[in-house]
Amino acid sequence: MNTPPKARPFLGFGLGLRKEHYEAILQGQPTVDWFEILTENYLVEGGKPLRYLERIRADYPMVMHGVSLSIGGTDPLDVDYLKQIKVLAERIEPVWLSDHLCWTGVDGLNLHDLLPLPYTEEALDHVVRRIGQVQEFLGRRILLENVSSYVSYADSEMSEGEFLAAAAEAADCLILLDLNNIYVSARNHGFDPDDYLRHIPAERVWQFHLAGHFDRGDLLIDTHDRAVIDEVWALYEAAAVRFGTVSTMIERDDDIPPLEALVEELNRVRRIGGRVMRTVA
Amino acid sequence: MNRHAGASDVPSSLSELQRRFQAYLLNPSASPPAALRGDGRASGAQRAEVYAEAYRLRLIEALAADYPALGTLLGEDDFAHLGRVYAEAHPSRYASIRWFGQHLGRFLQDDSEYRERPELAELAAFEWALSEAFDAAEAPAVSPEALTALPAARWPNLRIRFHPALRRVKLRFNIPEVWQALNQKASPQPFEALDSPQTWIVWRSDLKLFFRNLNLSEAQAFDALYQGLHFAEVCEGLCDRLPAENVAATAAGFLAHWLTEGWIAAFEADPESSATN
Repeated sequence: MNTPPKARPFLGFGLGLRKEHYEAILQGQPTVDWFEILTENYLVEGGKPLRYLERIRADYPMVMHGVSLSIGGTDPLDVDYLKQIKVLAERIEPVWLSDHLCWTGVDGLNLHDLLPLPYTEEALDHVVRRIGQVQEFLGRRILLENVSSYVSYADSEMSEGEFLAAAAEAADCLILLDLNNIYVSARNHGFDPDDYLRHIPAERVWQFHLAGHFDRGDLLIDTHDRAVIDEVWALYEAAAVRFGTVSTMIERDDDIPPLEALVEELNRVRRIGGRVMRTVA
Repeated sequence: MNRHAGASDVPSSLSELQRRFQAYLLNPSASPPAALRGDGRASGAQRAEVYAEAYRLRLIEALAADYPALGTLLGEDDFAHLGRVYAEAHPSRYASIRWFGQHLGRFLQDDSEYRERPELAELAAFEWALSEAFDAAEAPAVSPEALTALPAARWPNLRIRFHPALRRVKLRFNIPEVWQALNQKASPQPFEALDSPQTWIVWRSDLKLFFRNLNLSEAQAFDALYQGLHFAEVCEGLCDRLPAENVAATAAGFLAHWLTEGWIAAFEADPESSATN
C-alpha cells in the first residue's frame, strides 16, 4: 500500500466521481484538482468501472469514500469488506480513505443507509475501539464523516460535535467534515452549526464535503440532488476560516448535471476557499 | 484481526437499540423505537419514517438499475411493489448494493404472486447475466491462431476455461427480443413461448456487452465443455446428432468461432495427461 501522509495534504478543490461524467473527464481534462470515488462502486472484478477508474486515476489524485464500514454497528467488523478495500487501495493509491460515523445494519444485514448513533459514552467507547481495529488493519488513519440525520436519541449524553471530536481524539483518526450535513442536522435537531464547528479539533479535519439538500418543510432531507444553498456556503466560509487549508469537494448523487455545471459550482468553492484559506494560512 | 474480535465487548444497549431500529425499518407497520426524540418540528415517529421510506426507495432504485427492462415492462408502481416484496424476502447482506438484486430471478420463479408468469423470471435472469458480464473479472482471451497451433495429440483431452465475463442463460421465451424492444423503449413485443429451450451466451468484449443464441449442436458442445468435459467426450455426444464423420470438424468449427468472439480464457490440459507430456 502507498505510504499514507502524516501531515494534512491540501489537494485543492474536487468533485465526487460519477459514471455520468467519465467520458467528459477523459475528453475535457476539466479543472478539477482531485476526485473522490465511492468505494463500493469499484468493489467489482473488472469491466467499465475499473477501466474508467484507472484511466481517470492516471490524471487525477483520488480519495476513497466508503458507505458500508458501519463503524458504529454492533456486528463484528466485516473483515472481507476491509480486505476488499485494502486491495482497491493498493490498486489506486488514494491519498486517504474515509467512511461515516454511523451504523448501517445489524445481524448481517446492510440497510444501505447511514444511521446515526446515540451520542453516549458507551457508544463512544465502542466506536473508538473499532476505529482502532480498522486503522490497524488498513495500516493507516481513516477519515470519518459526520452524517446528516433525522432522528436523535433520548439517551444521548453529548452533542454530535462533541462525540465526533472525542472519537477522533481518542482513536487518533481524522475527520471529513460535511458542512451540508452539519447544516441539515442543525436545522432538523435545532442546534447551532457554528457551535458544532467550535468543538471540532482543527488539525484533524482533512476534508470538507459540500452538497445540496431538499427542504420538505418540517425537516431537511439530504438529497445531494441540487446546488449548495447560501447558508451552507456561509458555513463553508466559517469552516475555512476556522480550519484553514482543507481539501474541499462537492458531492452530487442525483439529478446529476453535465460536468461543466459542477465545475462551475466548484469554481465558487475555489473562490471562497481560495480567498479565505489564503488569508488564514 | 479475528472476525469475532470484540464481539463480547459490544454494548448491549447499543445493539438492542440497533436491532429495534432495524426491525422497524424492515417492517414499518411495527412501531419505531421509543428512544427517538421528537420536538415541535416532527415527532419521533415522523422522523423514523424518513428512514423507513428511504430504505425502500433506495433498494427499489438499485433494483431498477440492474433490471431496467423488467422495470419498463412492469411500470413504476408494479416494479416498486416487486421491489418491496423482494426486499422483504431478501434484505441485503452485501457491503455493496450492487449485489442486492442477485436473487430476483429465483424469487420471481418461486414466489406465488409471480410464478404464473415464468417469462418475468427469465427476463430477470437475462438482465442479471448482462449485469454480471458488465463488471466480471478481466482475462486475456485465447487468440484464434492458438487453435491451429494446437498439436493433434492434445485435441482429445482438450478442455476449455471460458472467459470470466461470459454467462450462459437457458430461455424458454423470446426474452432477448422482448428485452431489446424494452431497452429501446420501442413498442412492446409480446412474450412467446419457444418450442424448445434456447441457450444464449452473454459476453463482454472490449467493454461492450453482446449476446447470441446457439443452435442445438453448438449448445450441446458448449454445455459439455462448460461442465468441464474433454473435446473427445464432446464429439462423442455430438454423434447422436450429426453424422460421425462430420463431428470433429463441426466441433472444431465451434471452437474456432468462440475464439473469434473472445469466449475462451484458456485451453486446459488434463492433469493426468499433462503429467505424462
